[in-house]
Formats: sequence, structure tokens, C-alpha cells
Amino acid sequence: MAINGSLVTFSIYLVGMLIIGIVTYRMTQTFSDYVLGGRRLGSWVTAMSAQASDMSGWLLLGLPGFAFGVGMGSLWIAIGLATGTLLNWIYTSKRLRRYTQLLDALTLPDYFEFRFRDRSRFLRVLSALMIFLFFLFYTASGLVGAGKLFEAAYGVDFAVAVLIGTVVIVGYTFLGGFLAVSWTDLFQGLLMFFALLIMPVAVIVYVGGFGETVDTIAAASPMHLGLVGENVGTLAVFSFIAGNLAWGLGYFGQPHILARFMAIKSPDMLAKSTMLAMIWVVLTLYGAILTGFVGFAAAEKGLVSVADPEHIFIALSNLLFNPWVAGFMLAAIMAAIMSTVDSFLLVTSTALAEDFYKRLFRRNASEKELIWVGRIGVLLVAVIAIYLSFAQEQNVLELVSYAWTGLGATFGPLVLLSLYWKRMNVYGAYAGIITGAATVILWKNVLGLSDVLYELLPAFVLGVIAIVAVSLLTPPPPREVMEEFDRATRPSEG
Amino acid sequence: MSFLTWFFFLVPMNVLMIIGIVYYFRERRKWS
Repeated sequence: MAINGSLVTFSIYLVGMLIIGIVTYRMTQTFSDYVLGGRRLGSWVTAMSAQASDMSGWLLLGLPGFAFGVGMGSLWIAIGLATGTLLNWIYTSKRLRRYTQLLDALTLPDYFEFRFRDRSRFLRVLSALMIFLFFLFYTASGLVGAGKLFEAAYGVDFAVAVLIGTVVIVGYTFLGGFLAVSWTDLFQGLLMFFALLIMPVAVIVYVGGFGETVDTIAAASPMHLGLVGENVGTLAVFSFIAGNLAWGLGYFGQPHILARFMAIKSPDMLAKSTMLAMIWVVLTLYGAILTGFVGFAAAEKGLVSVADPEHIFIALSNLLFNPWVAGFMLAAIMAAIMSTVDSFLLVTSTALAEDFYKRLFRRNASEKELIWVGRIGVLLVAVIAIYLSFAQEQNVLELVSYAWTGLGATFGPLVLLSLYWKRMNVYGAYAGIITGAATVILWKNVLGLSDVLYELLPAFVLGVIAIVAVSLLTPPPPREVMEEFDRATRPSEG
Repeated sequence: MSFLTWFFFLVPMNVLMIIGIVYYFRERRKWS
């Protein structure tokens, strides 16, 4: 391992994250602090934390790689994600924040159970189990990503790399819980933002100006300048556009993002977060697409070569910047991975501590006891995730491909309708979860239609229909639930 | 690069960002 400037700046970043963990450790006194930061986040931390937790290493590796391959056609997925982000902030955040506070719900399974007065507890167990499994695999895939980054950038052995990354992430999550995860997200989000603004500009200057960049691409591959990739024919074009846009539907059911909405100090502060989040997400998506797009021009000119298009950001960092700055660029990728993995880790351990341990076994557990159950949960989940990332890498990646869709299709319609439709009842909730999950599995595995259209679109639509139909066919919810809905959604109450 | 590509690349995303900004200022006016 060569000791160089890049490694030094990279290490400074990692140590900075651990310091945040130590500071927030002292601020974490109650279990609500540990799980939701005591609902006292500010607008900036909420906005950056939601966005950084949402965007994984995919933003700096996968999306530039996609743009490298198809060019401007990668715009559609960006439009889909930015639209989903906007709708989620405007329509979900405020109501969810108020409703969960009224019900004193700390997690999504808490909210489902309390919202529908589900005495069977099956709704909680089912949703917590889904969260636990999906997020365990999510965590493992994030660790694999972090390990591969270390390995690609510094030639560190994969196993050593995974362990270093894990020690840092687990370290601050263990110590400071939600506050550590959110505050590190603030810095990680800003790091990603600036890295993605600087990179395409630097590449364009290096290649010789924007006109030169576009001319190079036009000569090499006109397809890159079009909006539909290689697709020809109405059906192929429709399925390409609709499928990419549909990714945005996943937002309404992602527990790690919804937790940020629930944690802000006051519902009124969400409007400012919405603005900050939209500026962040649109500009970083632009940056990621342009990095891949102009990176393609650089590759055509023979300035850079990548075996894997997803490594274009890493290759450009090493080409364009001196090692000290390149270290920051690589830290930005690590920040993208870590800001997502820490949220996964916390959500998974919270499902253990709140949804299983406290609610099912030890109703009267003390605050200290619950915090420590959460912390032990973080260690436990990390150990299982490390095992999975070494022993089951293939299965991990397989299952993660279901996670965004699975959570979006099962929880998405449920969250949205539970916030906006008074008449919805517990039977509708079950119908939504089952229909969403069944449609994804049928569409993808049994019918094999994923190539025709991304399964989230039909699954989401059918989920909504199932909730409405089943709720209407069964008795309305009790009067107290309806009155509570009015209290939670009345605009005058902060 | 064709005008249409540029139009699509810049307009929809910018509109989304502007809606986010306008939303904040509208909400802020409501409070005061």
C-alpha cells in the first residue's frame, strides 16, 4: 500500500466521521434520541440526511456508468428520481411527521400498527421482518461496494478493505445512533455535492471545452446525444422511458428516507428542507450524468481508459487531480456509500430493538436498556452483513435488486393512502402489502416481463387498487381512528 | 447536440428544482 496524499486526505475524512460519532454519543440520552434524534433535526440536516441516505454509491458509480453507456438517455431515470423526491417531500413528509408524532410512533411498523389499531400485531411483525431482511442485504451490498472502492483505488485487499470501512461506519452508528448518522450525512451530502459539481467542469476543461466534447461524442457515437439510448420502435422507447421514470415511485416506501421526515424539529421546517433537497438532488444528478457523458468523450480521445464504465469517476479523479484532491474525490464516493449504509444499519437495528424487542417482548424496558439493545443490534447486524458480503456475495446482489422495488411496491401505496384516505382500514393495509409483493414476484420471476416494463409501475398501481377495493368491501375503521386522522391532518395544527 | 436533447436535458429537471424553491417561499408567506 503506497502512502500518498490521496490516502492521507481519505483518512482525514474517515477520522472526521468517527469524531462526529463521539460527539453525538454524548447527546444521545433517550431511546427516541437513538432512533429519531429526539425529533430535533434542523432543516439542513434533515434535507442533506434524507438525500445522502437515499443516494448510494450508485450516484457516483452506477449513474455515471449508465450515462457513459447510453449518453443523454440516462436523463429519464434522473427525471423519475427527482420527481419522486419532490412529491415525497411535498406530499409525504409533513403529514407523516405530524401523524407519527401524534401516535408517538418511532418506526414505520410502529406507525402502521398504531394508525390502523392492528391488535393482531401481524402488520408490525410482517413489515418489520421485511425491513430487517431487505436492509440486512442492503447493508451487506453497501459493504461490498465500500470494499471494492478501497480495492480499486488503493489496491488494498478486499477483506481488509471491507473491515476498515465497517469499523468506521459501525463505530459512529454504534456510538451516536440517529444523530451520528444524520450529522455525518450532512457533511457527506455536501462532499458528494461539490465533488459532482467540480468533476464534469474539470473534465470539460481538460478535454478542450464543451463544443469539443460534444463534437468528439457526435463523431464517435451519435446515439449518446439522443434521448432514448439504443432503443428503436415505439414500444421499446415507451418501455425505456416509462421504466426509467417509474424508479421515482419507489420513494414513498423507503423506511430510511421516511425516518428523516419523522425526525425534523417542526413540520413547518420541512418546506425549507424540500427546497434544499431539490437543489441538491437536481444538481448532483446533472453532475453524475455529465460526468459519464463527458467521461465518454475523454475515453474516446484516449485520455482515460476504464475496463468497467462504473469506474469512470475514479479513473477521472486519478487522471485530473493531484493526489490530495483525488483523495477528496474518492472520499466523496465513500461518503455516498457510507451515508446510505449507516442508515440501513440503523434502520435494521431499530427494527430489532423497537419493533421486536420492545413491542413484543419487553414493553417496560428502560431507555438505557433500549439504547444498548439498539447498539448491540448494530454490532449484530454488522457481523451478519460482513458474513453475507463474504460468503453470499452473489445472493446479496440478487436480493438487493428486489429491495428498492420491493419496499416501494409494498410500503409505498400503504404510506401514501394511510396519510390521505380516512376510510382506509387495516384489511386494505394487508391487501396493499400482499398485492405489491405478489405483483413484483409474479412480474419479475413468473411472467418474466421485467424487460418489457419495470415491475414497480404495475405493482404500485395494483397495490393502490387493492387497498381501495378491499377497504371499501370491508367495514370502515372505528370512529376514534377517523377522528384521529382529522386531528393529524388538519392544516391548522402544527 | 440537437436542440431537442438540450431542451429535455435542462427543462424538466430545472422545473422540478424551481417548484421546490417556490414551494418554500409560498409556505413561508403562509406563516407570516
